[in-house]
Amino acid sequence: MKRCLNNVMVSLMATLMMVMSIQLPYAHAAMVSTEQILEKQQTDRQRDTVIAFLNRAEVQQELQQQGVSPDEAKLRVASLNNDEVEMLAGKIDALPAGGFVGTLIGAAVFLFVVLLITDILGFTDVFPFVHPAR
Amino acid sequence: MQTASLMQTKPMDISESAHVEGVPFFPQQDHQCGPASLAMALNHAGASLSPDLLRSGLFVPGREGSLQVEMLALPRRYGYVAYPLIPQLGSILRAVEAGHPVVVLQNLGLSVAPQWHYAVVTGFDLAKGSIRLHSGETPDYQLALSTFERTWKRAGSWAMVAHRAGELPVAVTENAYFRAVTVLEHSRKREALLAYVAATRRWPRSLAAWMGVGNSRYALADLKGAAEAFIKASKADPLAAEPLNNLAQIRMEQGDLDAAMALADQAIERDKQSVLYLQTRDEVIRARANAARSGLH
Repeated sequence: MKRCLNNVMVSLMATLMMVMSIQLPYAHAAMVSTEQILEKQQTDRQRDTVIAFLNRAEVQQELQQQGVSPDEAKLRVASLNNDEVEMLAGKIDALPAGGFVGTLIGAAVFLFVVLLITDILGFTDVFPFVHPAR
Repeated sequence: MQTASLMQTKPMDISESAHVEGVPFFPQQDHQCGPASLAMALNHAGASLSPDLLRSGLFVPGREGSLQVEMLALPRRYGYVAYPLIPQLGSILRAVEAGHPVVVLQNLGLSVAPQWHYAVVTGFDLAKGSIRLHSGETPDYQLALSTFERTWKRAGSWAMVAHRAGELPVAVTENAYFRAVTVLEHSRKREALLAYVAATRRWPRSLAAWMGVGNSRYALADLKGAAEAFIKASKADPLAAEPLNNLAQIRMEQGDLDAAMALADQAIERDKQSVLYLQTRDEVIRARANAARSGLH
């Protein structure tokens, strides 16, 4: 996403956003936001604002595609900072999603069997009895 | 293995064993280890939030699970802040020792067939080489530290702690702290202020901390308090243009247009590229014109 955006595009978007007066955090008064303080370069600030804006829309849409309701998706995106939005954009279908089902015993047995096999194959060395010291 | 080295040559600053008392346990309902784990950490930090309540803000139905980034972000909605830990086993143990349950992501399967699972570390014993977790349907489940380390590393060594806004975690960098708390400004202005005030105590010369105090007070309509904070921000970083611009905005709202103009000019002088500072000066000029028209000037 970042690579496709050249400077022209960024300025176009910035102008468009201003004209449409899209609600961005802190857009009302001419105040420097605390978030902007964390981005040292002025030019980066403008670019980051635009990229974050596009990424937010993308993440919101992806969440909806994964079954989250539109209202909830909006709320969820609002609680992310720009870095977090960037981490999610375009990757929601691939990132780890913790939700393993099964009792812990099941998990332990599963893990034991898997690690036993990988031990026998020589990929891991969990159980000393698989490869007794020679 | 970090486990082996921790057991053989235990760092001086880590106890042999520790246990966080009174971490509430919520059994996991299907696929809901994320909401359950986060609820345990948040309730220990002082909130009263059920896994069911957190579920709508965390669960991704299409993925049948919860994402790490959202585990970090959701607490902000309730005035709490989550911080990722440095990806080392030692940082989990240190947090537990300091009395904080640690939410971890484990891969209980293999890299090629992952089984992602969230759990909450509640204690450890280096002499026995074991770790205790609130996990799945089992409170204080005891596991070999080395096994835990494998499952944890296979999930990218991810761990987090949750704190009430305004309470700083034991080990946090300035940058990580501000990245975690700034979002509070959008919906939790009072908690944001608490977080920034706490930051000024830990990092008294931090521009971001004082700017945060100023911006949150401004958002809470405390112009006088905000002005004081921006003056402190300016002292913390005497070359910075940002506090001058924000102070100009406040002076204008307070009706001190001469001071506002001088500050806006100074901000522009320091950073000629900023569109925002020019905008501030334009606003002051407009305010002056209005004042002249209504015969007050």
